Amino acid sequence: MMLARRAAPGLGAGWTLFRSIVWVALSFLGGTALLLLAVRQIVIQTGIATSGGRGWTPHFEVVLQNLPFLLERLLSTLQLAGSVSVLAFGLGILVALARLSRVGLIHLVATWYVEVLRNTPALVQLFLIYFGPPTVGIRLSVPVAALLGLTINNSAYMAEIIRAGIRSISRGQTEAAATVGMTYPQIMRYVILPQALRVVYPPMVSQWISIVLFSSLASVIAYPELAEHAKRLDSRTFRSFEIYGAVTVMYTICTLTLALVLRLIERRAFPVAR
Amino acid sequence: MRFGLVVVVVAVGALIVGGLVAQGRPVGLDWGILWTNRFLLLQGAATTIALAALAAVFGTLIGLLVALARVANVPFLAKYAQGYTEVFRGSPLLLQLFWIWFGLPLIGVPINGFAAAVLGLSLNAGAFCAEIFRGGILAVPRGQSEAALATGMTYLQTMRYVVLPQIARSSLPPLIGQQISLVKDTSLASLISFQELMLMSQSIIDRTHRIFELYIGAAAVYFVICYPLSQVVRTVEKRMGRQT
Amino acid sequence: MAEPMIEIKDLHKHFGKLAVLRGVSLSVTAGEVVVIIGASGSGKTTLLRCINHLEVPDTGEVRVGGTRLTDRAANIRAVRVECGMVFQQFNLYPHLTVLDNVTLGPRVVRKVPRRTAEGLARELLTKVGLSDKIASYPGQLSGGQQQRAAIARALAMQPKVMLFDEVTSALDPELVGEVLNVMRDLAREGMTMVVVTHEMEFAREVGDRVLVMDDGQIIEQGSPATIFTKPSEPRTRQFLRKILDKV
Repeated sequence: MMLARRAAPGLGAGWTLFRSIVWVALSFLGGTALLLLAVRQIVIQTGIATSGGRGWTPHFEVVLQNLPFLLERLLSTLQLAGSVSVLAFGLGILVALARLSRVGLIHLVATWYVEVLRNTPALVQLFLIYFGPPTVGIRLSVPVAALLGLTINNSAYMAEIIRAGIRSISRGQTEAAATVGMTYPQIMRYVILPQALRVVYPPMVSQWISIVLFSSLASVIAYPELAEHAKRLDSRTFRSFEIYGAVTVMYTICTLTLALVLRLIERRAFPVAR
Repeated sequence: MRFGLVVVVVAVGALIVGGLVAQGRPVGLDWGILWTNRFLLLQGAATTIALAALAAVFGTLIGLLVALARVANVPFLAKYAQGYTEVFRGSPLLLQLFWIWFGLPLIGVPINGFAAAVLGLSLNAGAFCAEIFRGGILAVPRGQSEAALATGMTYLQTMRYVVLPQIARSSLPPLIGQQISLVKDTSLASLISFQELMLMSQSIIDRTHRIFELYIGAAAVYFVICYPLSQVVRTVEKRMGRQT
Repeated sequence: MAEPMIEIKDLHKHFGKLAVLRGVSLSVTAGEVVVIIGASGSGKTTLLRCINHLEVPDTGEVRVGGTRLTDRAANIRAVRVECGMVFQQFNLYPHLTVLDNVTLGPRVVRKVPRRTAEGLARELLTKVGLSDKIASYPGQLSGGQQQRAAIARALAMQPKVMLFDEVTSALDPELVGEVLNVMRDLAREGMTMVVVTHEMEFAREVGDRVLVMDDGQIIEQGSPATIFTKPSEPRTRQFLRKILDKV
């Protein structure tokens, strides 16, 4: 048995790659479905099944009937994720620059900002932002709280990514630019940031996808996105297996598409210099 | 950092003092509530740590197996492993937990809150660990596995004696990073009614209505667990950087 | 007539649209040293790697020591154990000492106990002139030393056949000699060897038979004397002219 040959990534193979990945994900789910059915048979046969088990048959009509709604909510998820990404990126740049600042206090505050946000769960942060202020009389609407919570959380991760990107640009470039007489903001704008953008892009893509996935947390405070509608459908129809399964697939295909599209953009925007 | 520690201690101290002084006034923060409920909170923290540790172990094992499956030349196995990785990394952990907790009993598989939480977190962590291990494996030059196979070693022997020992060190930082995320992810288990720190804090909130204090307290616990781990990652990365 | 050690019948192989082997047949008797020369892309490395199943031919048959190579894992391993291979890039295991590199195969595959394996390893490493480097790591060795260690590693499996894939091409010129000397000694001891190389001197001195490959086929074969002084094929002449001009 040999190690599998690594497939060479082809530029025009984007669509085939996408198709094959979707195919793979679906066959995984198919395989797992068969596995679960087998497990179910065993469990029923040996008598340790739960009460609902025996009578269950797959009923995907719930999903199919509600597909337009679900897709609409998927868009709303993407909208939320998009807004969060942009805002968090902007905030992230500020925090990153603050982290790189030589002013002790700014550096300190920024460092603690990043460390606290990265080492505590996003759920806690979201709850604090949504449930906290009402105790002192400030009521944030659900969309605002969701946006704020997700943005602040992700800004910390983005700040770290951006900071690493900026630091990876060699010091020599800063020195070279400085000797020509450029100011720090000019050096940042014309020399460092453009290069950092290229370095930062791949981890940024992972972060964006992570934002799409974590937007599902907003469902906990009843923000109308995809996960929230799934929960609502489930409490109405109790077809949990089908609903959550289908919505998981939807997210998967969504993120795979996103990843592919963003990678193609990378090839165009940052061609490999030869 | 030491300067920062001083600042934070002073700030927290000020908050506590302010809270104690402002008792009774509407804007007061009663930090004493954390002390009163310390046993419940510690219980929650212990459950969180146990959940995270268990899922970490399972997740790493699953990740290793899946990575080995993905790199092997057995077509169906590799595709299945790839599908698993894509699905569990490409969809929200929240929905994965819901799928398991609400879905499995419906098809007849009995599962309790703890098992559902462990299963969901392990499967999710497993997918991420699989990517980490797979990256490490692919970084080992192919020629070495060819040399090993040319000697007549099996795929598993090649992995065990030649490839995996070499990725052990390089995989460590991302692996620890993954476990840090796992600790934070355990908070989602509260949404499937598993009594870990978040749910525990929420039940205390239901009783006392002290939202800020308890969530900040819970956040502090997570911080105390995660921050040292993230510093460990940084140290390991620095040490590795020096060795190359 | 004794059964050939290696028997290759009509191998064909494509990489995508590119035909790499176009009907190659070869027979190697025990103790024979066969040297394969040819331009890059002629398929000689692919041919070599088909012998121990590192490449899988599309059609054709490979027999080593009487065993026919199939797709079954156990069968492939049985054949590989009989073939020792030395690579252009050495491919030593960087995380193991030279001694461990050499003993790993015998211990894991042939289940030889560690003590015995180490004894054999020391002998082999002395033979290739590395007795003082036993506890060193590959990273601490020169290219020539690494390649000699790689030869010892291959020999540790006590193979019936040794396969050499351009083993001196990645070496600095002054280190080539020490490796060729080891190979020369091996040939003298009667090892069956298939050597893909650009080292014409070696082919002339040590080879029993020289094969010339071009464009996926064996265009000519014969004794070194014949090939190098009176080649019949025009393409052979072309190739030799190019190579020997540089030498």
